[in-house]
Amino acid sequence: MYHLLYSFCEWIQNTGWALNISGSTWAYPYVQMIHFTGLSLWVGTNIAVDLHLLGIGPKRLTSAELNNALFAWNWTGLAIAVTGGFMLFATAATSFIVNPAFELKLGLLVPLGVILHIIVQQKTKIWGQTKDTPGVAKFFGGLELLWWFSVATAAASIPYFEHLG
Amino acid sequence: MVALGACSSNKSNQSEEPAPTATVDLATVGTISGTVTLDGTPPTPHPIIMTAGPECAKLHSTPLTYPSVVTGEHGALANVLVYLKSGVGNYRFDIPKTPATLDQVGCMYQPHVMGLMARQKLDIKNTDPIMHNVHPVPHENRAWNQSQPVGSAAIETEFDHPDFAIPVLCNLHPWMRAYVFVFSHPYFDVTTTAGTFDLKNVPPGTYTVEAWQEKYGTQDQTVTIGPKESKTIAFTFKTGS
Repeated sequence: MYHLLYSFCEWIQNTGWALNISGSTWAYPYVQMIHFTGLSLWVGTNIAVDLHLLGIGPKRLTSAELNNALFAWNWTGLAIAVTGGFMLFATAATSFIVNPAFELKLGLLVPLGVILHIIVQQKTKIWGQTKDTPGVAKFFGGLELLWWFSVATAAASIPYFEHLG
Repeated sequence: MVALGACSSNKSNQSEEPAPTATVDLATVGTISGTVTLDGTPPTPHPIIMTAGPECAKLHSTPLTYPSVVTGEHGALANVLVYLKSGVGNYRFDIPKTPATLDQVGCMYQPHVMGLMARQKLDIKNTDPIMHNVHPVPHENRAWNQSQPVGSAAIETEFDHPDFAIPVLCNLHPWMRAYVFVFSHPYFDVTTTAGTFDLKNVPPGTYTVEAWQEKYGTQDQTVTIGPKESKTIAFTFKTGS
């Protein structure tokens, strides 16, 4: 299984588009910008709803209404982040897949985070119908906040694990 | 000795030359040697910001600087590649058996500038306790990208065609960059901190000698050498050029 993954990574980082991104002075930063723009949208809209579930912020809207209003921006953000992230990954894929921080981020935290987010997003339709959210909503809002904070921490830690590659 | 063919003056023509037929007569060869200097005050080197590679920063007690302009005493300019740009006839040259070596030491490529012949083996080593990701960006050869984990064997590669100033990058550490030149002949040298170069075993003829410097570009000179003759030339780059 690992050999198959490694072969895929070797292939992807030697495709013409990946070589062009990593070999260009300007392409890589622009792709980074795409990735971070998507992340800002995704995590930003997540945080807005999570804080609302926790009872923090203006109460003009219910959590359910806010969740509904941000739904399209939220998933658009993830789509942009994944697109940019995949392009960044492709520039040094074989190096990333042996990095423990990257493995933790993409192999565990992000998939579970997306599942957690889907659950919270669906449940917010029920939990967030009133201005005061129930305890379970506060718990999951807080959990999701912490979860994405841990994803960001793992991402920022990637360069610190290059000696283990 | 027979000098054949017209001169090649650019890299694309170098790869389209007809099959070489003549061999260099070692009884008549000469040497073109000289110095490269910098006229003016060298630019102040800026420290490399290693935020993208904090493990690299740990390898150095003081911040590294990027070696785009390296000078020695009396303005001697190092890391200048000097080569015969044109005038080399259609000779057949043996490809050196010894591989050229490019190493990664302290998250920098060493040497910073190097030359080798087409189809000569190139060993790319990683002696760092850190993973690197080697990525040459050639103009006339195939580009590739390969990670090089800690303690792994050297990457053995070669370039099929002559190529000019191939940047060799590391996709994990954006400040890492070397320049590799690939020639169809053995007449090239890189200056040391003494600023000197030697092009040995050059057949009699008229040549365009070019000096390439990463920041200041290129300079050309025409040199004619007779049988067994040695010529000394000098290149001077100006800091404003």
